[in-house]
Amino acid sequence: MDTPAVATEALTRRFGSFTAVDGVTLRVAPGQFFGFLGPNGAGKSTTIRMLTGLLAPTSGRMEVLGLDLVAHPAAVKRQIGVVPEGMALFGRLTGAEYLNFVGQMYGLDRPTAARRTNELLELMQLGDQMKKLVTDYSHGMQKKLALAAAVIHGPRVLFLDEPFEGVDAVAAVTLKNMLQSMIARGATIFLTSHVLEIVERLCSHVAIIHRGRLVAQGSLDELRQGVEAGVAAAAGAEGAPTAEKLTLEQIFLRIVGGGPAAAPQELSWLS
Amino acid sequence: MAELTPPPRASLTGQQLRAIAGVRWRLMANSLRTTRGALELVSHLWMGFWFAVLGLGGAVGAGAAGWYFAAHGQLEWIAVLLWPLFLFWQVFPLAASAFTEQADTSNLARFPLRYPTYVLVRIAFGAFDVATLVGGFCLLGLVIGVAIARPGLLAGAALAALLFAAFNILLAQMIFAWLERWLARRRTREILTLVFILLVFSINFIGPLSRRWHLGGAGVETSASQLPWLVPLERWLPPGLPAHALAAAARGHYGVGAAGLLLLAAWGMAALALLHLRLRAEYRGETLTESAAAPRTVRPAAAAAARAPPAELGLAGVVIPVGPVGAVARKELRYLARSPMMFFTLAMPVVLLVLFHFQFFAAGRPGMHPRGQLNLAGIGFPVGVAYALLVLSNLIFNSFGTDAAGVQFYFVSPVSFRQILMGKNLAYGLILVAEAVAIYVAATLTDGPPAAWIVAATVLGLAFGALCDFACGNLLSLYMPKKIDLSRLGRQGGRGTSGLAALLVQGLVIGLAAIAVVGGRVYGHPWLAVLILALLAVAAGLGYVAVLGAVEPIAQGRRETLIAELSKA
Repeated sequence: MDTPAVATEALTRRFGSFTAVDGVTLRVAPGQFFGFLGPNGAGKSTTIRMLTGLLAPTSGRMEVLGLDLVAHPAAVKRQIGVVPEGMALFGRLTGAEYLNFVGQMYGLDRPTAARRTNELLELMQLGDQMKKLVTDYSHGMQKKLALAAAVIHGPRVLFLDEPFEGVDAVAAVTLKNMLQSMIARGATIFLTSHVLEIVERLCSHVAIIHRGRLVAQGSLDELRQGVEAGVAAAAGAEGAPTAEKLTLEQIFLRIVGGGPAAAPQELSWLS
Repeated sequence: MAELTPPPRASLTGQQLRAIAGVRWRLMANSLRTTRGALELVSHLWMGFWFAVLGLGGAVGAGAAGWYFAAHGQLEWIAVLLWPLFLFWQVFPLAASAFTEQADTSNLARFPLRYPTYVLVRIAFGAFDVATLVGGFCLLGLVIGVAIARPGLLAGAALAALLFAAFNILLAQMIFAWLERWLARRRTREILTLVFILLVFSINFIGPLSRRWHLGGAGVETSASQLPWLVPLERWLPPGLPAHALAAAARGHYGVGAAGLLLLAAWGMAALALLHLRLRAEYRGETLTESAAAPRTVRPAAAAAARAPPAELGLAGVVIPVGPVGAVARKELRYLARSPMMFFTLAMPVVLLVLFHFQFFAAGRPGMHPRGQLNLAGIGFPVGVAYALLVLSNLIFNSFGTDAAGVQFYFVSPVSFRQILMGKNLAYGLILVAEAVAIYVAATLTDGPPAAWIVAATVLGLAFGALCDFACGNLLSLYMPKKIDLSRLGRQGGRGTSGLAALLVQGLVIGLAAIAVVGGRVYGHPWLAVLILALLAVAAGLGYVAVLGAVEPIAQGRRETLIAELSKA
């Protein structure tokens, strides 16, 4: 059996008396496009921050490419790329300077870093913004730059926290194409997103976290079958197939709850 | 939708001002929930206490002098007090811009604040600084002194002091706002740097000129007598106006006195008008960025140049190693090169050196040639270098402050914090070396080259001080991080506790260096001081290496605090 690209065992993180991530055990096989979903405050970002070394776990184990992240942080970090929640950009560098800097931090020599910088900026359609400081980029441009920085060293595993948030449709297509080409070359992508349509289209496997606990994990079809079976059981007609395939959004809502009943009441001063 | 009817203007303004004051208070109160916040308040109170003591001292002195001048009918001489006060009020905020903290009012622009309210808030926030505290105390003392001697002049003196204070507050803010605007652009920074370099070399001519005045044999009096055109001019300038207005009022010429105060008010209005130009742009949402001025279309040649690897930062690029340490050092230098603060960091020690030079010449008397009595070059070079170290300590003691949310990158990258901090220290070290060279050149041009042992002692003292600063600063950067904004003047203040620690370390370093130098001179062996400083530098180097070995676990243990503090909006 292949060494999982990402594996956690009873991963837990507490903030005082609040448990943000509660005994999460998951496995992501190499080459998977893995979607990590959950409602706001479910523990997605906390998990991804632990997996990328931005946050220490309270207990549990984490392995990336078979290496314990706590025991071998540098060896793991050399093989992963990260777009964290805050993007971690250096605002007062230009896009080219930033990418060159990141490349050198990952051990690329200057000519290689410069060559890859140019290629990435062209691919991300940022080539005409080379003189602009990162702080003056639009949110979408910053996202593209953050993704470019995450892949400049050719990582084997890519962790992306909400990569499509604030990105326009044109840029989203570019990002999606790039991510799919990375998957085609054997990389693993671990992604969180609230845009379920994108996750459904891109990801082969999904895990859902709710109130800190992992409540579902598997391929999209496995999740769909599980939910459909549950629905059928509840309706008393075991095994009866539903008329239409459930979308990821429907699966998600069935698992974590919500829907029209949870809609807000009208606001008195806006009526 | 009746609730959407806005309240009357005056009531809305009052409500908004109360809300702003309330939110400032809540921010302060909420900060006390953490030990770090409480320590911060204690350090601010501690510094505030000493500045208040300084202000009270100034108030007593100004009060005594005011009483003397009023009692002896020499109220014009109050100008002698007001000129230094004026210079302090204007120069101190610039000299201390690396340490002071100005409230950021730009986020108020999204609220429906009327422009006059915005101006009021901006000026009120800007007025809470050390210069205003000390200046206010001195003026209060002066008014009390004059009123004790001449009770009839109380109202006039109070009005004059108020107008003078308002003028200084407005002028200081106007200078700050315009400098910030000019220095935000690369092109203007380059022009100002060029002007500054020319100025440094023009100092070459100042020395002989000063000497010519002194060799005339009459010291300050001669210098003043050779500049007679300055005397009538002085009475029309803001520091002279209150003095002459009060003197006129004391002689019963109330109309002349009132005209003087009106002219002072006009000076204040002129400062406000120039400040208004900046504030109006700010109010309309102007952002001071490099690229705001950049051309929208990129020519092919420029685009090709931009595609090339980033430039090697001139001479610095030669000494910076390849690899992660060098990458961090380059990144720091690029960051600082784009900061208006850097201009001041490099310029102020040299500017103060020149002022220092004039101070000593002005203090000279016939028969007491400064060169004979006091080796100015000997003092200028080490004092300038010590000041440069002090100015940069703000960055050294909060070295992640400029990275903001970018600090997350260091945690996800495979580079150790030992290397990251070495890179930052390398950048600061290169700046200090460049600064020391500039100060050496300025000191040599004004007063001739310093003695060899002074150069050696200063260089070793700099090594000792810098290594102490790097060692302590690396630890405090991890323990007391605070996000700072390099793009705005007066937004580089680190945590108060870091500032206090930095001052403590500087005091210790300068104290030990002074003991070594004085000891060496007392025993007639100046080179003994060099030896002692060399030993101190070696000891500091060992301490630095020990700290570097300990930073990784500290950084990892404090990563949540670091990221949270530096990623704050």
